[in-house]
Formats: sequence, structure tokens, C-alpha cells
Amino acid sequence: MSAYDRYNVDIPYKDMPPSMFTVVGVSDDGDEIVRPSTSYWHDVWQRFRHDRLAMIGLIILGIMVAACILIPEFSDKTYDGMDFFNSRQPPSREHLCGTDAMGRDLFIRIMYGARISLAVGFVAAAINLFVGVIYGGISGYIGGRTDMVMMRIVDILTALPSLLYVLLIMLILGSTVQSVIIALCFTSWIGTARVVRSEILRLKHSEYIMAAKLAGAKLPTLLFRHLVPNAMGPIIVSTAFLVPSAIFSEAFLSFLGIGIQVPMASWGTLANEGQAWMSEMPWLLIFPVAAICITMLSLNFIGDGLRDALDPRLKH
Amino acid sequence: MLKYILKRILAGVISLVVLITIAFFMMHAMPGGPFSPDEQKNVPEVILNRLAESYGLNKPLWDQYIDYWNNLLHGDLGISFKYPGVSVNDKIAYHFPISALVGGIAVVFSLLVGIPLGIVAALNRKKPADYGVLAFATVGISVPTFILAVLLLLLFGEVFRMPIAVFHSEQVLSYVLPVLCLSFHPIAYIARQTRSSMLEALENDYVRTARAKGVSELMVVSKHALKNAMTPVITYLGPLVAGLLTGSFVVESVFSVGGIGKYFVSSVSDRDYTMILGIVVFYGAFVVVCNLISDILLAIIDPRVKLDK
Repeated sequence: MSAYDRYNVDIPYKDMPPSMFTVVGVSDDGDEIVRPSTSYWHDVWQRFRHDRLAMIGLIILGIMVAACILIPEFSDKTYDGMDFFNSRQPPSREHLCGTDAMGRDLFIRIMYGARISLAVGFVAAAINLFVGVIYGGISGYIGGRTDMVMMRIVDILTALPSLLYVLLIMLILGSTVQSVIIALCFTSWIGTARVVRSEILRLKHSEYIMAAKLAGAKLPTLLFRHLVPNAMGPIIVSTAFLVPSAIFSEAFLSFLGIGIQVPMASWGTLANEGQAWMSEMPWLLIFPVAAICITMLSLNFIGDGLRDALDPRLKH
Repeated sequence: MLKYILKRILAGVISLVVLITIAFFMMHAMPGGPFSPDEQKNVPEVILNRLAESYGLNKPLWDQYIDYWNNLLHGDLGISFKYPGVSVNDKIAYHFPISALVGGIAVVFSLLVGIPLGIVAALNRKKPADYGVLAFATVGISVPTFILAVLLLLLFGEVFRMPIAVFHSEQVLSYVLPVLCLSFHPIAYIARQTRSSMLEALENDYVRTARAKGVSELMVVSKHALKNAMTPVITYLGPLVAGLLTGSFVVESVFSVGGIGKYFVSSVSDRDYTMILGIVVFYGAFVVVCNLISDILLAIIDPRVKLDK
């Protein structure tokens, strides 16, 4: 049977065997994929890699993380080790960032502070991501009345500045790292939840969701296997900006004196202490403040870079 | 429109009721209290009990809750625990105008600086001016307000030796640092928003049409592009006004401005129950109204925005 049969038209050379024909002008090579295929994530990485500021941010953050993990382990100084013979020293080779009124080495205190601040930032962002994805996912997917009630609850929670909730929670739970994280997470997952919800609303009528539903997928499968991975871009961007905002909030709380308590020290606590000695020992203020600003800048650069890399349409 | 406004007011009232309830019960869940015998060791327990009685604190929590609502609906926020004899109404009425003045100046200042910066950046895209504005905006968003406040103190107090410790509401100079500090972050944000929405607006067909008709560049920018680029800034204006007019704890305490923002934090640590709730009520109502106004403004400026969706 020749290839022309299905057209049911009278073609003069219908009965000629295909072997008598030669293909002209088309080669099989054209369909061959010469370059390695690039996945979406590979593409994202390529775009991110060429964002100079974002890469600088990533490198600085990497150094910061490595330093705050390694340096306190291999240093003979501790965050509460006092040395009254060497108190109030300006920065020197022995004490890189100087010492405070009790002779504690500021550099090592900043390193311990980095552990607290960075841990608070990343843990809070992770919890926010988790809660936000589940809340926003359920709200967006189920829709209707459930969605309305869930979104009203969120609106009510955001009507007041989160600082008030944070203060109340901190006073109920006391000033520990855990309660700082709980307090910070109380309202900040809402941003992620809203992003996830709007993404789910956009995606839930896609054909592949219909197909998954027909195949009998249940809500958790639909949500975590099909919907969330496809909404990953915006979710990552909103989480990336949660890290600096959590670090900022923690520093702010400690600066007010209701966060991490001395002798433990986060960057906010150190900046607060430094403020009191501003005239006599300006280095006590300058170094913690520099640490906060540099970290915030790098994290914001990374966030901007991720946003541009994940959604190039947004870039200007 | 009227239906929409009424609906929004209703939603605002409901969220206020829920808020007051949450704040009320969270507040009483805090360990200790203004007259708890564990904390006030110098005062005999009999007197503490009497005090608690006179403030109605020994009644069941539920009765206290009903009492509070009863007073609130009569417009009475109660007597402060920390400052005996001073009503919370008076406290807010006295301190709010100071915050509102400083905050109001900061709002105007951030709009006057932020929007032009954004326009300049958008018009000089990928030129030094653009990069300058972008760099400023990134730094402005990254530097926390409390750090900025302290750095300004260090700079003006230690280096320039300016009088910074006392705030006089009559002296213009006193307003400089608090306003600078309050508006730094908003300026950065507004500049960034204006820049990106201006860039978007300038690519529209009606801008090309206007240019083709020979409209001057100034008119193209100010009349055609800018008006359409203002949407995100106006959306931001509601929370901004609410946030700045009610005062910032850090800025007010660093520059000793006697505004309401300070009580936001201090009332919680003082366990001044009536003051906490008074501020929650006041602030909540203020935020609801600000957001409502900014939404209505948005609908007037941009008819594409549908109010009742």
C-alpha cells in the first residue's frame, strides 16, 4: 500500500513503488539535536550566573556562612570570654574588630552573631515557605467559600503591623532564639501564601491538572507534585526576600532589647550595645552595623538576581 | 461605588473586632501583670488586690472583655495603668499630632524626592544617572531604619556637632533628621517602583502616538506616561501614610520625638493593658481608613481598576 492511499485522490504515479522516489532538499540532519538540551533550571542558572551583582552577593554570603561556621570552632576566644586587661581596645591584629568594655573580642562576637542572625533568617524563611505553600495552595486550589474565608483571615492578620504581634508573642514566650523565630513567622508567611494562591489560581485549570485528576490524583499529589513545582519561580523569589527581612526583624527586635539577650549576641544586640558607646568606642557600632548592611545587601542582590533569572519578562 | 465603600467599611470593622479580641486575650496570656505580687515586691498584697479591683482586673476575663467593649462603644478607651489618672484618649490625642506632623512631612518629602528620582532613572535608562538611582534604591532598601537612625546620629552628632538630643516642635532643624530617617526607605521604594512602571508606560502605543503627533517630550512624560505609571505608587501610599503618620518606634526614640510611636512598644513592655488596646484600636482603624482611601483614589485615577470585583 502506498502512502497516497489515504488521500483517496487519483494521483498518476500512485502505483509506483516508493523506492523510485528520492527525497530532495530535506535532510535528516536538521532534526538532530546537536547542542545539549537545556532544562528550565539550567537556563535559570545561566541567567543568574551572568548577573554580576547577584554573584557577588552569593560569594559574600558563602564566605559569611563558611566563616561563621568555621571561625568560632577554631578560635580560642569565645563570645562571652572576658579579658579585663584588654578592654576597650580599638581594632588591632590581636582583636580584629576591637574589644568592648568587658574585654570581649568583638570579631568573635560578630561571628557568633552571624550564626544566630543567619540561622534565624533561613529557618524563618523555611517555615514561612512551608506554611505559605500549604495555606496558599489549599486556599487557591479549593477556591470558592473556603478561599474567601481563608483570605479574609489573612486580611485581618495583616491589618495591623506585625511588630505588635511580635512584641506580644515575645513577651508571652520569653526572649530565646526559638521564640524570635516563632514570633517572626506569625504573620510573614502571608506574603508567600498570597503568591502561591495566585499562582495556583492561574495553573489549576491547565490541561495537565485535568489529566492528573482524571488519573485519580488526590489533593496532596495534585498540589505538591503538579501545581507547586510549576509555581516554583515566584515562590523562590518571595522566599529569597523573606531571608533578609527576617534577619532585619530579628536585628530590630534585639536592637530594642527584646530579642536575643546578652551575653549571647546577635547583630542587633551588638548594634544596640555599640550605640551606647558610640562616642567612646565607635568600632563597637560600626562593625556590627557593617555586618548587617553587607549581609542585607548581598541577600537583596541575590533576591533581585533570582527574580530576573526566574522571570526574565520582569526585567528592565 | 457607595456599595463598595460600605462593604469595605464593614470588612474593616469586622477585622477590627477580631483584632481587638486577639489582642485582648493575647495580652492577658502574657505572664505577670501590672499588679502581680511576683513583680511588685515592695507593695503589700492587700494594696495590690485593691488596685487590681479598682481597675476591674480581678473579675473573670470574660466580664472584663464585655466591660471593655461597653466602654469602647461609648468612645472611652479607659485609664492608662502606667500613667495614673491619664486617659488613653488624652494620651493618643496629645501624642498623635506630633507623630502625624513628622510623618506627614516625611510622606510629602518621600513623594517629592522618590517620584522625580524614578522618572530621571527611567528616562536615562542604562546611563550613569539610572545606575546612581538604582544603587541608591538598593542601598536604601537594604539598610535597616534603626541602623540609619544611629548612623545619622553618629554623623550629625559626633562629626558635625549638631544639637540632636532634644526635639523642639517649634524648631525646623529638629525635624530634619527624623524626616530624613523616616523617608529614606520610602524614597528608595518609590524611586524603584516609579522607574520600573515608567519604563513600562513609555513602551506603550499611546506614548508613541503622542510623540508622533509632535507632543513635546515634557508633556509626553508628565501627562501620558507618568499618569499611567503612578498606579503602584498609589497602592503603596495607603500603607505608607498609615505607617509614617502613626510614628516609628525607633525614629521617635532615637531622636526623642514625643510621638505616639514610642508607646507602641513601651505599652507592651509596661503591661499597660488599656494603652495596648487603645493603640490597637486606633492604629487598626487608621490603617483600614488609609487603605480604603488609597483604593478609592486608585479607582479614580485609573478607571481600569474595578472596585467591586
